[in-house]
Amino acid sequence: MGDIILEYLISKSLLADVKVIPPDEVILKNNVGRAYEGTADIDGVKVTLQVVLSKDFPLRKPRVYLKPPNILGFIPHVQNGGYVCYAHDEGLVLDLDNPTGIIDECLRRVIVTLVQGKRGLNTNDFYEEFESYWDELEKGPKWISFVEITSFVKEIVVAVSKELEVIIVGDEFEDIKRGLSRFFGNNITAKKLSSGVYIPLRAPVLPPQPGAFWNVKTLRQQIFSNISGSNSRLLKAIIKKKRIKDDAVECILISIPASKERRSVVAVSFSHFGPLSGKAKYGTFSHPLHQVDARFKITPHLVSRLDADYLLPRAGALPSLVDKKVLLVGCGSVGGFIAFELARAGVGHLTLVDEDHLSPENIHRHALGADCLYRLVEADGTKYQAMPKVLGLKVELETRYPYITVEMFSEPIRDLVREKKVMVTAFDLVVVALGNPTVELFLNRHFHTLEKCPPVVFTWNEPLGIGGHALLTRNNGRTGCLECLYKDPDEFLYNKASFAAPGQFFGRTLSGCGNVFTPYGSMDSIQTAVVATRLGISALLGQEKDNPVLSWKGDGRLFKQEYEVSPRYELSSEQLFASRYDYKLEGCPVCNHRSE
Amino acid sequence: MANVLNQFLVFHDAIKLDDENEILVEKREIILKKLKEKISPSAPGYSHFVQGSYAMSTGVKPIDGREYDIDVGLLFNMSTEDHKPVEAKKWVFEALYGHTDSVEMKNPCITVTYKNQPPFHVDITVYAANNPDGHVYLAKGRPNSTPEKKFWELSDPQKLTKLVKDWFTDPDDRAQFRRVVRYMKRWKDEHFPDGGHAAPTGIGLTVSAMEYMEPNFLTDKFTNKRTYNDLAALKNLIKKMLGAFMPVIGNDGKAVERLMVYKPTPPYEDLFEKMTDSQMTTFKAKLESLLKALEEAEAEVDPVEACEILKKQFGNDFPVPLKEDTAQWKRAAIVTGSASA
Repeated sequence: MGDIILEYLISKSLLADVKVIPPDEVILKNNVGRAYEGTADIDGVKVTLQVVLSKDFPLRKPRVYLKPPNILGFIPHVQNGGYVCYAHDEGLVLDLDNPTGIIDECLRRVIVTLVQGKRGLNTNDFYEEFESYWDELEKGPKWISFVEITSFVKEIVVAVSKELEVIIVGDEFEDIKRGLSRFFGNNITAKKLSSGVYIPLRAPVLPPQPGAFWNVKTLRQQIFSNISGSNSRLLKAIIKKKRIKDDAVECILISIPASKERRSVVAVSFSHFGPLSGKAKYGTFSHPLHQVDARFKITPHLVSRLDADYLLPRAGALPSLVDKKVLLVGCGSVGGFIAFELARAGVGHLTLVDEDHLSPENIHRHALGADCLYRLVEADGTKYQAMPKVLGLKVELETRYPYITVEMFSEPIRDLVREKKVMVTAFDLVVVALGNPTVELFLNRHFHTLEKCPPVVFTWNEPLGIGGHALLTRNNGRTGCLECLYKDPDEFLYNKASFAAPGQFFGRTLSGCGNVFTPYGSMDSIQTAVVATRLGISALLGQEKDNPVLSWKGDGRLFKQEYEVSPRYELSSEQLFASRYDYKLEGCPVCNHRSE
Repeated sequence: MANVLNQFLVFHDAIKLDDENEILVEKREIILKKLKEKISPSAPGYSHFVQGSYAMSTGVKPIDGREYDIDVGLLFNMSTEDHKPVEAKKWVFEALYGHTDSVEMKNPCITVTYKNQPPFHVDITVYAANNPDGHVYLAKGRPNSTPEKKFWELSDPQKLTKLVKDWFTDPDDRAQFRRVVRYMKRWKDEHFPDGGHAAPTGIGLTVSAMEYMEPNFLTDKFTNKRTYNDLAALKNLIKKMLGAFMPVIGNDGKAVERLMVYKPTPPYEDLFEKMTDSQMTTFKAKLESLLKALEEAEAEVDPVEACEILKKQFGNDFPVPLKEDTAQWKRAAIVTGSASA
């Protein structure tokens, strides 16, 4: 059988002088199925390209190597050994039925990438990929950083962890210790080594070429030509006073703009200090950025960022949620999931209110599991107590998301409100997921008596998977509240958002798992929690300008076997969304709604 | 605009009467039993069915001093060739004669009247139901009618009943249709004399509503719940009926406006044809005052005032709320709900 790929490559004129090469001529030899070589003209330069198909091609895209790697100079997307990074695997779909088409497309992309690099059209890609070029240098071990990335030069603390065998930098030694226990547990120790310096650069920087790291002169140039006057003064003041012993390690952490939203953070260490030839053997030395009066080794390092700013999710150009305080009232099935979603969305401060313990029959529909049922009260293991849901959530949340702070109250909300232990005005958002309309109506009235009140989300589930709802109130000075839903002239105290027809009793179904098999219990709660959390965050970010009722509608088959649905259930999801503001009650005694 | 739907519904509950009513069922059974015992052995076999407004779910209670009216049809297992129509009616007449103070043979039926309380009469119609053409024929005429008035008339009484009963496929629309027909019929009883042809017939009003009534309701966008507006439905119906009055040349050669509504089943006659021109003129004038009253009630802000206006049209069964009632209805203080978290 002839080599159809060879024939194909020959028939297309992308490469000239195409030939099959044996696997051992391939630059990177692992997983080589077939390999080909040919020449191409890149903007007037004749180069050789290796096209390597892995053994499982076309499940993987072909690898292409430029030979020799530096023939076009130092250009983006050509890595060590000449590997051309022409496409990210993420989001790439290969047509399995068209292998030659894949090769064709990949060669075209390689050539475009190389031509752009040669002509200097994609220099910005260097900045974006700064850290990957840093990674290609001959470098020292990776560091861990808890340092807050600021716009000003500052001194930082350098520590070492014996257990982790790693250098850790932080703003304060306390930050390092706290950070290590958050991420690695309490058994990890750290020893303070010295102080280093953090330097934020103003403009993007071309990465050092592979195998050719900057010398101290270039490094100084890169830094001092690329920092503000005040940062220059700060830096000079810090490095001027430094005296370095011969066995010390001097560290600098550099942040460099990579794009509009992102900064690269890398590190450089100076070590193995010794006198310049002909000078005294012992003594202390100047900081190499100040003046060079010693021999030393200069080493680049990659940095693993574990600082809050880096780990907390960012909402793009929107204001951050990190500083927001959210009060969550009710941590049952819906509330439990909301707590986690708020945390994952990046809300920095949660206050949880719930008076209940997690009960064993509920673990399959609660965000917490069996490990949160009991807590040890006496250290010798003799006494266990049921664990309050708020405590279980606090522990889980703080363990999983180190930069969140969680406060908790294991008391009924009405007591907390009456005794003013919880001041609603101190929060940016309140979410109520009690599943108790009486108390919720009371809270709704209470919130509407306050002069100032943050937006409040009320949320609840309906039985047997027919749906769930979230209502926003006190948002943006608009009317509409929970009371509006409960004042239907025909069906008093019936929540008119309901998908269940009025006058039915669901006690057995609602109280849940014990008696009735509800196959979707947890998924219903998650879906309601998602709707409620999205609504709350939308209010926090100022995107939602009014007070909607948002509902999700589920499969009614199970429900209809025993119960009746309301006319509202018959609305399509689009109609439900379109009518989200149409629930407001004219002259509502609580929110005082008046239509225009 | 005052919302008077609740008053209309209370009014409807007060006037509605249907085939499930015990008095009607009981009286009908007595007559049928008597007929079975006494009917001539030479008469062919028959079955009975209920017809008229009660069977159509559009019946109203009679107002004070008037009779309940029960309609029974007898389907004889015979053809129009087997017996003369008056002969057939005589079997029934003779079987029931003497049963009450008054048993009369009328042109389309035999009427048995009970003077006791409550007063009522039963109209029995006789049909030949087993004909080669598959149709049903109504026996018409009296013993001393002229020969051309004694005949078998093509008819389909059960189809008419079914048509009216099933009018509008949506059950809520259908319920409003029945309410509106009942409002019209009670209005007729309040405003026209009993007997003769001065009053429009009940079936005439019913078919008018089939022709001209549109269900009237608002659907709440949020709850998808319908709120019916019987006042508007009735008002729009009357408007359309008034618009359907057509000038025709009367017996005296003058133009007169008449409303013509045709039975949707054989013999497809004009259901108002028996009204004289002057009765028709009165009918129109009364419809006009009804329309005016409905428009006034609709424009009235105070429900008490609105109901006073309506009461003048519909009589004392139309409720007028007390001032304080309209402010706040009494509610249940505990209900069950479907929310959980």
